[in-house]
Amino acid sequence: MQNSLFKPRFGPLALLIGPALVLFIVFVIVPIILALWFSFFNWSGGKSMSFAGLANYANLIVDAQFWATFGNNIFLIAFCLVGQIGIGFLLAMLICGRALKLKEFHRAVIFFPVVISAVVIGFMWSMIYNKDFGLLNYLLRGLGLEGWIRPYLDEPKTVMLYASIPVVWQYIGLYMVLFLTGIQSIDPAIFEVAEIDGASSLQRARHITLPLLMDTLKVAVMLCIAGNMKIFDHIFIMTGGGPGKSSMVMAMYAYNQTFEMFKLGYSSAISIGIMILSLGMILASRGLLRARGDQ
Amino acid sequence: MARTRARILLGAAMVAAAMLTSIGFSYAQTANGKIKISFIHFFKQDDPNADANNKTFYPTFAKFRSDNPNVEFDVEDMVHDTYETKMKTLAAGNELPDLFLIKGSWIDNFIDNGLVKPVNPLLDSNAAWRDNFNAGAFDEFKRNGNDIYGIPFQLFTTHLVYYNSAVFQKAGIKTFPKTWKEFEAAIKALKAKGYTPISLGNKGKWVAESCILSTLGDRYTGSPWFYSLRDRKGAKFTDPDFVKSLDALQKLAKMGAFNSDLNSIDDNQQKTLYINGKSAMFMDGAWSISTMVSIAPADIMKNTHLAILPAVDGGKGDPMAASGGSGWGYAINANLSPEKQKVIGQLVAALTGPDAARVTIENNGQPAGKAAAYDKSKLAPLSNEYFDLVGKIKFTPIYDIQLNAPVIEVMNAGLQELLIGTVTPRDLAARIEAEYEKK
Amino acid sequence: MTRHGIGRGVQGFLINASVLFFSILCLFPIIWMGYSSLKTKQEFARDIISLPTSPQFGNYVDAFRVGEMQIYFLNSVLVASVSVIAVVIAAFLASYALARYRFRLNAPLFVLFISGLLVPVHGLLIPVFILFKRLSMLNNRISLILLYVAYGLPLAIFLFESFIKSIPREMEEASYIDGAGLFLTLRRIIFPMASPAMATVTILSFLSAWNEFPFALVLLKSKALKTLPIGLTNFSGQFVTDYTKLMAALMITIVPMMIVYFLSYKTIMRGMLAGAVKQ
Repeated sequence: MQNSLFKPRFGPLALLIGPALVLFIVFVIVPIILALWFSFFNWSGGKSMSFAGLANYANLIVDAQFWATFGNNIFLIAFCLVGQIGIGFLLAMLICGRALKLKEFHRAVIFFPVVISAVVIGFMWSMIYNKDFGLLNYLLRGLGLEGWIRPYLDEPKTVMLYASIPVVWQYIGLYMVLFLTGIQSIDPAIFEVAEIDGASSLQRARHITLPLLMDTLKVAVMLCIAGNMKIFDHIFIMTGGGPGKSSMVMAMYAYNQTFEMFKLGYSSAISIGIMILSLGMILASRGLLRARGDQ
Repeated sequence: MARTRARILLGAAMVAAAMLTSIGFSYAQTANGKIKISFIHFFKQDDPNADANNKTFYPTFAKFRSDNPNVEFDVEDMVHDTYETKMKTLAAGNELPDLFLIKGSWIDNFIDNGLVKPVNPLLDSNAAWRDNFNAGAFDEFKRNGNDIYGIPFQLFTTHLVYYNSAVFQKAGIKTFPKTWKEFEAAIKALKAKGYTPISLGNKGKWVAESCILSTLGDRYTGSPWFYSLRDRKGAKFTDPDFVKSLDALQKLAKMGAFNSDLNSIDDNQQKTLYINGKSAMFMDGAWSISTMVSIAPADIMKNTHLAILPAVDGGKGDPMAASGGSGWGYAINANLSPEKQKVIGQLVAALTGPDAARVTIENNGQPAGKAAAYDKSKLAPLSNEYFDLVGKIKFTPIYDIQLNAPVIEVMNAGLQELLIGTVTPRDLAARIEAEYEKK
Repeated sequence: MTRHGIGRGVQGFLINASVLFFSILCLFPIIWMGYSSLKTKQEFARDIISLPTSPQFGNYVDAFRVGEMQIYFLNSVLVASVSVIAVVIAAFLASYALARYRFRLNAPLFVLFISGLLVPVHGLLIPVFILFKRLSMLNNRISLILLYVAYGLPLAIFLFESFIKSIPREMEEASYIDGAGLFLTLRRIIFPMASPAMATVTILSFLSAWNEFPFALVLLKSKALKTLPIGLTNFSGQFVTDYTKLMAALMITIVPMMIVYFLSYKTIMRGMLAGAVKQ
């Protein structure tokens, strides 16, 4: 029955998928293929182009600087998984619960930073972190917490932490709304039954909501990985990758190789590398989540 | 209600349709017998903080346009940072405009890729103009002997110490230090009075190298070392003299000469600290003279004077020298037709000739050529002080203009670490040398 | 009141207080920027947190005079809205096919689209530029729209596909049995039911088109075509010494988004609830 209704015929299928596929292939896949092509050359940006085989990739694999930037992306992902998805989920649960007042207000306000451009967020947080005119130091001084003042963006060991906070801050609302959509699509009857059975809200969250939100969680984890593997603007504006290269992320490294160093072939290899690593991370995360889901 | 909404939607749709169909415009406008010249530059129109070059460019260009109605310009103006990204993309796509601005460190790459051609014919067609340029103005743009790839509009030192004499007085310092020992003592004295001795905004990564190390390095190594290095004739970054200069810079940082957030504020913010009276000095190029004249309050301005870094013990360089050069110059597309080339020659001559130089100088700038008779009273005291100083010193190479980009990248990023003590001078020198030897 | 009740009260208070604190954390930096942009430079330097004694609009006047924001603004509105409409339609159709039909290329196609989420655009600026040059489509508004649609598809398809999958098939089946064709069924049944996902996709793709910078920078040449982020960098770069002016410049890009957001907020959330109830 079902099969006969949803039996694919070429005509409708082409009409449905065609426009998206053509656009995607021409403007996303073709540039990637071009980048792949360039990555096999030593190329400084014009006719001076010589075939290099896999040399760029061989260099990439042993490029400690590249792996250090990858480490920064991993740090960011870990931080965002806990911060964004964790807090986002918690907020979504609270908004769906009974105890919280002013739900509309919270929902609207917490999502709001998502609509601001990353460049603006970067500028804004540079001003928040500023040593002399920054909001943060002003508040800490006001609260008598001078001891908490740090050289936020000037200390290589902790710069990634402080550079990550704005990213987490901005996108918590996105994950909150994702989870809200997920929670609201769960049949309320399930909750009612659980409540009659005397399950506490924490138990309900753990045993009912979370398992039913497995798909949403997968989506959230994937968005989190994908977004943070290619992150650029926030950090570019706040630190420019410094001090030294301590807050440089992969996309910035690729950009640097192109626009500072004129190493266009190598930079293309980095871009391809970023995509391969991202794909690997997402497949790994799916595997992990599936394993947990099956338990 | 519904009708209004429908009307608004209809209106919006019509506007959208009109805008979408107007897309072909820039291509449809083919030259109607006119010479059409494409030109991209970084003199931003209506810039509220316009510097002397900007203030020279617009009136000169406007006059040229009205004098030459047969030439049509397709101009794109943008700010500096976006200019660099855009030009490198255009270069990679072989889409450079007819006329643009080039930086010394881009030239080798653009030549390799056949994107530019020498501007010698332009200069040689107007000997009076060619010979009006100051000595050394073309140095950064010369390749293979005498091929010139850029025509400069400015010539200045990238290193100057802007200092507040009143603050120095308060710390008991009468005149600007003449030796390195005195300089270090002055820093301690200023610090004891609660001032940041030198405000530094090195977020952009080039300030420490271009405005400080290029000069400090030369104090220790002397210029012959640099030329030997540049021309690959034996000098190394790991040579003890260069390491000493890194060491001196790091010592300054360790004794608290700079603000602690030096890597997270930029070159504009270092001026802000100085203008607000929090710091006693900052080091920047001469381009900041016109900025200071327009933004600094009178009470700061009247105490602001110029100096250069003092002599260092055992230094091989001339203590009466500072890194200097032209930075940018007008360059032409390799495929420029003779017809366009002629027009561009006239335009660039107007933009960099004695009259333009007069406007630049009267706006407290530093033109590349000698200026026509100008009104000295228009100059700010700081400008006069600059010209007095420059008359006494010689220019030494600016690192980021003369060395290739990858080496500079490593050096600049490394200096950020050097200044916060996370790399030793010796290790940094080795790191730069390793990049240098890659080629 | 029972002890249980008091515990609830305390718990409720803690929950409300901490979420309120968090909301303020989200909003305050923007409010701070908003009112600081009405201060003079000197006033700001004296006290960074106080309210402006007499609000000054000079910073905004400067930003508009210098930035010519109206041109950039119109361009951004046009490019972003056309892109969003195109993304929603193209992604919705493709997602329906991917969610409902079983065919050999289904999984590979889905993975292909989704992998688009991983593309680091800053690394592809030069290939994209060269592509558009070959197509003779440089300095063209349509190029930008096509790019925004293409790069918006992965997220849109990702969100639509999973949402459509969660919609029960019964209503479609009924519709087909009634003799309605594919597109009629899509329009009458699936499209309205997918409204929550639609709202999310709309706002997210509008955002990315509204804020996109690097493609617009390298592909556009004429001032008449340039978009708001380009305009913003053009003058924010010149205002960095002057925090209050910079804040005014930043506010100019935030405020339109803020208006769009708070106006369409009800629709977004209503769409979400409607979607949940219908199931």
